[in-house]
Amino acid sequence: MFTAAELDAIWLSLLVATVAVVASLPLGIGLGWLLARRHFRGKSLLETLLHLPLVLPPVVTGYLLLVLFGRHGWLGEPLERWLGIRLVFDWKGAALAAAVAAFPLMVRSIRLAFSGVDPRLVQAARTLGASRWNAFRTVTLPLASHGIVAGAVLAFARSLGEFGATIMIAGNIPGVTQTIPLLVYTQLETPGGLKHARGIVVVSIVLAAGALAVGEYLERRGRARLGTIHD
Amino acid sequence: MMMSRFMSLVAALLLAVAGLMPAGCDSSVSPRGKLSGDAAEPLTVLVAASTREGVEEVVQRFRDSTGLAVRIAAGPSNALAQQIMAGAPADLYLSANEHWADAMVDAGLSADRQTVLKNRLVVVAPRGNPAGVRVLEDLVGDRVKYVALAGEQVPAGMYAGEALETAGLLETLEAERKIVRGHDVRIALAYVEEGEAEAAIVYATDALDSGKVETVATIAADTHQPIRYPLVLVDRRPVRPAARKLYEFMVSGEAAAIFRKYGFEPATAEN
Repeated sequence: MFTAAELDAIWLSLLVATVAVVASLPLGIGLGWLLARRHFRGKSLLETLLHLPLVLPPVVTGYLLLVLFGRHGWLGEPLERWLGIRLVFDWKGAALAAAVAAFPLMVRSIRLAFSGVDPRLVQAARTLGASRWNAFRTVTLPLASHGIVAGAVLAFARSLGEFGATIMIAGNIPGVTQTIPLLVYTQLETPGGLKHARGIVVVSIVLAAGALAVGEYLERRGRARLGTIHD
Repeated sequence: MMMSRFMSLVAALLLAVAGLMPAGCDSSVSPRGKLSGDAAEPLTVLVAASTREGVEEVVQRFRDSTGLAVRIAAGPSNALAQQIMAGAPADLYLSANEHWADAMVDAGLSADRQTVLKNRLVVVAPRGNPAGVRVLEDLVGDRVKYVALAGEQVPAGMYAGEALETAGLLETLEAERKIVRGHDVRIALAYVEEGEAEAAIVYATDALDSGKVETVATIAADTHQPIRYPLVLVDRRPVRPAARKLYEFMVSGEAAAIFRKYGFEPATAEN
């Protein structure tokens, strides 16, 4: 039903998107909490930097990543020399590009969720003897969970569709870095290729819609649980 | 309040701009449709990526002597052909192989055609040749992790694929997942310039252009189709006289002399 190249692309897209979200979630939660709960010098600068991938053309983001993480890049060279990790022409580079592109969406959602948590509930937990971390884990985090889920789902869906930055840093290598968007693009450049792309386009839509549906379900379940806590 | 005064000012500005837009629009979209061009519209030439610099100089000579406006877009020949066949308003098309020019003829879009340039393939490596590539066979060795080629439908990628197949290396390279396909031949070159790939197969003219790579091996011309660049005068029904003028200039000896500076050999009637 699907060609080997299409199956490779589907598998790669799922791998890249999952790794991108899972790897950036801790940082996303941390930054979302920080931006929601704290004021500090340089906060606006941080917010601007965080929003950059949202507003920069994706190929520019990809170019910046290439400069940073390429073999001679500031971060790329030590990564390769000391950890043997190569990001360019590798699925990890695609995951990095997807993570960076999706990060602003994730943080916005998580930040919103944290600012919706009533700080008095946290204070109540502290006065009852909970440590900062305990209060965060048992009060703040569960209350913000539906926003965190929403952020993760948004980031996942965005990662599935990442193209510009991916093609810059990971290249378009079938079976190695050719995600669904890259495969569709390659088909587009081939005369007559458009009709072959139909199947994979449908898969792409189903995956994105599926991700959103799962997110919706998790969010609703999270809110329902919150309902019982309040009562 | 200040905020709403500001917002209504912004709204007013936006409305004014929107209102002025139709008046400011130029008449380059003629009522006859997009395919034919208005007399005032600049000429558009779509050219293979490898010819960009040469074409820029040729076109500038043409602009200087005729005062006509010309726009250049460079890219992989297959994508350019796709665009023209989908209705993009191009007057001339310079392809890096006969195949894509044939496609234009088959689509009924060619009013005239002539082969103008020849080129050769070479293997390039980053300056210093870190993987010590001396011959084509070195590409399957351990020291070469990635070989950059242009895309499978891009002429440079097609010639390179042919050459590798003739040498019996293509299957091995593909099985070892060593081949990285760039969007066009210049991207393949860039991968080597940045040291991300240890070798690339590009045109001899591209290697000349770049100071960050060195040519390490040549590829025998009989291992692939002869590299020919046909120039197509796109039939925009009708062909504009200015387009015909540019076409005649680009096939002339004067243009050939300019292209020679960039390393292209002119194609004569015999070859």
